Amino acid sequence: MEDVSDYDVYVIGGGPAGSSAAWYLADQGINVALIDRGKPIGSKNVSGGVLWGHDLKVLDEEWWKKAPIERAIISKKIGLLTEDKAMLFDWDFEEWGHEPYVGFSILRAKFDRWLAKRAQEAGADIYEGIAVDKLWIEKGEVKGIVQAGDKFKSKAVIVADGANSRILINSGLLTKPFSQNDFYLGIKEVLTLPEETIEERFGLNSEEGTAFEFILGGLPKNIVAGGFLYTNKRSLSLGVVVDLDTLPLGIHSYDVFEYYKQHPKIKRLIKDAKEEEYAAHFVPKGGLHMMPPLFGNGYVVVGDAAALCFSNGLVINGNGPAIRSGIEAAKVVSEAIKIGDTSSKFLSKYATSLKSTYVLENLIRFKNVEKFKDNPRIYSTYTPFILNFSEKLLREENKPREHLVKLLKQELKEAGINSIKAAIDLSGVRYL
Amino acid sequence: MSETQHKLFTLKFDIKNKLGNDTFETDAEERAHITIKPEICRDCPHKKCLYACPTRCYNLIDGEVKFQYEDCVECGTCFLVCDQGSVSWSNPQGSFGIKYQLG
Ligand SMILES: Cc1cc2nc3c(=O)[nH]c(=O)nc-3n(C[C@H](O)[C@H](O)[C@H](O)COP(=O)(O)OP(=O)(O)OC[C@H]3O[C@@H](n4cnc5c(N)ncnc54)[C@H](O)[C@@H]3O)c2cc1C
Ligand code: SF4
Ligand code: SF4
Repeated sequence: MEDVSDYDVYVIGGGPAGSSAAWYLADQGINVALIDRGKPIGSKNVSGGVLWGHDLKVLDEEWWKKAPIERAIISKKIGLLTEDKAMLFDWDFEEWGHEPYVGFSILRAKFDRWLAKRAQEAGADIYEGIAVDKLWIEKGEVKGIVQAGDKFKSKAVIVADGANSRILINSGLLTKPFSQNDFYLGIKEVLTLPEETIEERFGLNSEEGTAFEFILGGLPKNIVAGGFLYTNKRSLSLGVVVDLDTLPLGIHSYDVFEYYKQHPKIKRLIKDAKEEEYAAHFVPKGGLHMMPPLFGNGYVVVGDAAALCFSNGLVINGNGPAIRSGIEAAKVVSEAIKIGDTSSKFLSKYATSLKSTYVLENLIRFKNVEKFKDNPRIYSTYTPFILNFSEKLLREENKPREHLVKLLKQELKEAGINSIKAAIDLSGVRYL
Repeated sequence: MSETQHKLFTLKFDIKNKLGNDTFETDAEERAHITIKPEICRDCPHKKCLYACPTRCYNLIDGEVKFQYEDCVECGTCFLVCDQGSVSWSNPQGSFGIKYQLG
């Protein structure tokens, strides 16, 4: 970074949040540099991979026609899995298969590289393979960045370094220290399969994709975990999200992934697919309690670094909020640069504008969702119960059948479910 | 059925076998971006790093927790689960470390 002249704005991190911010700023004629530790940009990044929504439309009305997307999501499946049983709800929405589409499967190494390139074409300078140490702070004011011990001056900094934000840690800007309660560990593998096999197996036409999410029930020691499977053009993205707090001693995080992968239901879906790449990354649980200050004198925080990822237990939506927060931040920062006021007071407009978008709105409205989705009984008790009960209900045997209510009572008793507690737990559905 | 008979306890596979599919750029100077303090690990009541790390960079060898950074995918988990203050964690220098081709 020797010859770097001063920039108006440094953006730290070229994930969807940082690259969107840099693209917007460059469009506004702001002198902006985007710095990422990956070389090429994207090579450190992982998501499940569905990009929901059209937050990128602000930057390019027809972005998806140019972006390296895998498939347009046309159907959604949500299921329950126990050791030897599976149950699946299956939705097909014809309108999802047409423009403007609702979501696309993506592979982040390719997608992020493209997004950064768009920022570059708009006029942003890109620095790859450079890890920033922290913010340069003097008297409570961010003056620029520190990289390899050297200081680089700017008028404002956008912090977009993702869930494991070393920038905020090293700069002392977290509200509270990171805790294992605040993150899931996402473990993912990409498995290759021929295009035609994917389309035949999942009932898809060319360009169409599907998204599966599962509750992994009945795991020992009340482990809380979920699984996903998304179809790409010539591969499947298979993964689990494990609540680190519930991972007991003696079980490896990757055992949960392998267990999921070897589940009979999943085994059929990934048959003959070849292991291509293994990855692991944090997913912020998201929510107000773990959110760092979103702005201060001379800086703003966007995307996962700001814990803006949204998850209601059935989907993880962090890519969209990352893009949207990057754009909202860039709007305020570009205005700030133009009028020459990057004070905390002015930059607070970013938090205000975020509140009027779905990003913060969702996190506020769903702030109790944790109570439901992290309730271990959903995973350890109710999921096995539902599957065992339905198995007995559906099984045809040449003997007299039990009445539904009697069978239900029997099964509740056998599963040791206290109906009052269950009613309270299930009333948690209102948080979803 | 007892909990210990759960399939999760009987899986047979070695995570290290699939790490060969991943691409890493190794630091020729072998600078470790993560270090642990053996004297703290010795007295650690849980040693959760052994289980939480998704690439098994932490191993128990002759009763001692040993760390190797080579297969690290930079997820940050060990820093989170270590509440004993043993783990010093930083990003690798420059672009060293994991290089996802797909992500
Ligand atoms: C397993 C898994 C599944 C997921 N599934 C989905 C999904 O299906 N849909 C969805 O919408 N979201 C999903 N998410 C969440 C989504 O991936 C994140 O919310 C999103 O990546 C956040 O974007 P970001 O730009 O804020 O951060 P990131 O994408 O993490 O980008 C941060 C960038 O900063 C760079 N960086 C970090 N530190 C430095 C530094 N010191 N100096 C320079 N550069 C630095 C990194 O190289 C990286 O490019 C998933 C996440 C995981 C882990
Ligand atoms: S959790 Fe921390 S202190 Fe305990 S063994 Fe692991 S690194 Fe050492
Ligand atoms: S950062 Fe993640 S992969 Fe690396 S050693 Fe720690 S837990 Fe293991």
